Amino acid sequence: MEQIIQCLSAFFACIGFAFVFRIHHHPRFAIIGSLGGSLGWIIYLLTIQSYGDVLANLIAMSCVALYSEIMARLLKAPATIFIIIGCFPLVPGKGIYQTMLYLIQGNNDLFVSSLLNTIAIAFALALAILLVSTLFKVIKVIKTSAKKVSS
Amino acid sequence: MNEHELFKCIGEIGRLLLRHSAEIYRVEESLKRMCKSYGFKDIGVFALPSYFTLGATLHDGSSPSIIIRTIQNRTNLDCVYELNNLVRYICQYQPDENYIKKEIERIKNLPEKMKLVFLGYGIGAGFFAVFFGGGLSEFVAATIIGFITYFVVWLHEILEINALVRTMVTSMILSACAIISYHFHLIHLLQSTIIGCLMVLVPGMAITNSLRDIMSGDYISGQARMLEAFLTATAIALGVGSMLVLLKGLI
Repeated sequence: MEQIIQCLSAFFACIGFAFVFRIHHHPRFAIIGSLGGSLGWIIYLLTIQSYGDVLANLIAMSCVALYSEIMARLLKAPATIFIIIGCFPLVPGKGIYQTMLYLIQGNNDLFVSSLLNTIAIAFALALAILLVSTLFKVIKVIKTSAKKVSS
Repeated sequence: MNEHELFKCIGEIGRLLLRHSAEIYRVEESLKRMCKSYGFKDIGVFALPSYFTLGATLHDGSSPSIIIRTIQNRTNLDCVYELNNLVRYICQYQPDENYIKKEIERIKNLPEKMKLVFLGYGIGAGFFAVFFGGGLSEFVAATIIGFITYFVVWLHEILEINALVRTMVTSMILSACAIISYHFHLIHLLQSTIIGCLMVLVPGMAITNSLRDIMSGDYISGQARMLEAFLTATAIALGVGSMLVLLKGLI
């Protein structure tokens, strides 16, 4: 039950952020990007038990990026629009808060471990986007060279 | 067709793309492709997160160059989409400069619905508070704090205060509001309310864009974005942390 509430609230929160980032004239982009955000959270919840925090973030963000790139090709829009909206449920806002809280409390062990964890998550998110966009670039190059060969 | 005017128009499209925070490689590639489609030669583009130069040799043999610096960045994904469509159209059909000017004016004057932005801050903060484990009272409190955040950000934009100070002051104000409402027992979970409200400040975009830039070979831009992400996160932590220390008696 809690998970369902989380996914639904992720969806609506992403729609709010789509408005903040000025998607006003194309509501379908806002909805598609927000669906990406909930999708990412569902995959995170499915994978966290077996893979741990950082790897689950990597897998979930890869799925979000893949979804965004496919939607970008289908709707002829830049993929950034969907990635910016869809990454928000995974971005380590909680990590930043907890790191700061442990620092204030003077709990140095927990501070260092949560700082490292936050940085690792941030890198995992960036790496996932990197992997997927490299994949799509390679596909594009192969397609164009195949066209040249056939013509 | 006046090629110098055309060249200026292309520069203006690049400026708008950069200003509304498109990725660096998108700015460079769009400029390069537009120049190529008009048959300009010796195209040189170099872009940073707040600056670009564009040079080319036109058909009459002259080689103008454009240097543009944009300091103020505001994310506007609608504009990025429209500009992307315009670039696509230009590369395909090579319209003349009057058409491009008209389109640029149209995109510049796309109405920003500030009511929707205001609503977005509230909805975003409220639902993220629920997302991080809050209940109904946290949702209501975070939504109201989200609305307050909108006014704080708006004030900073009018006064042209730099982004790091803006992030810090905003996170200070929102955590102070959350702590005060916690003190009067309006909310029961301080943590989820604060995290939900500060999600809108978290540098998600800088994190996601930085490695993309590095991948396409823009090491300087990627580094700049990474630094931006790190400093923004530090500013958030400083803002929230200072309020948690100062208002310790109320918790």
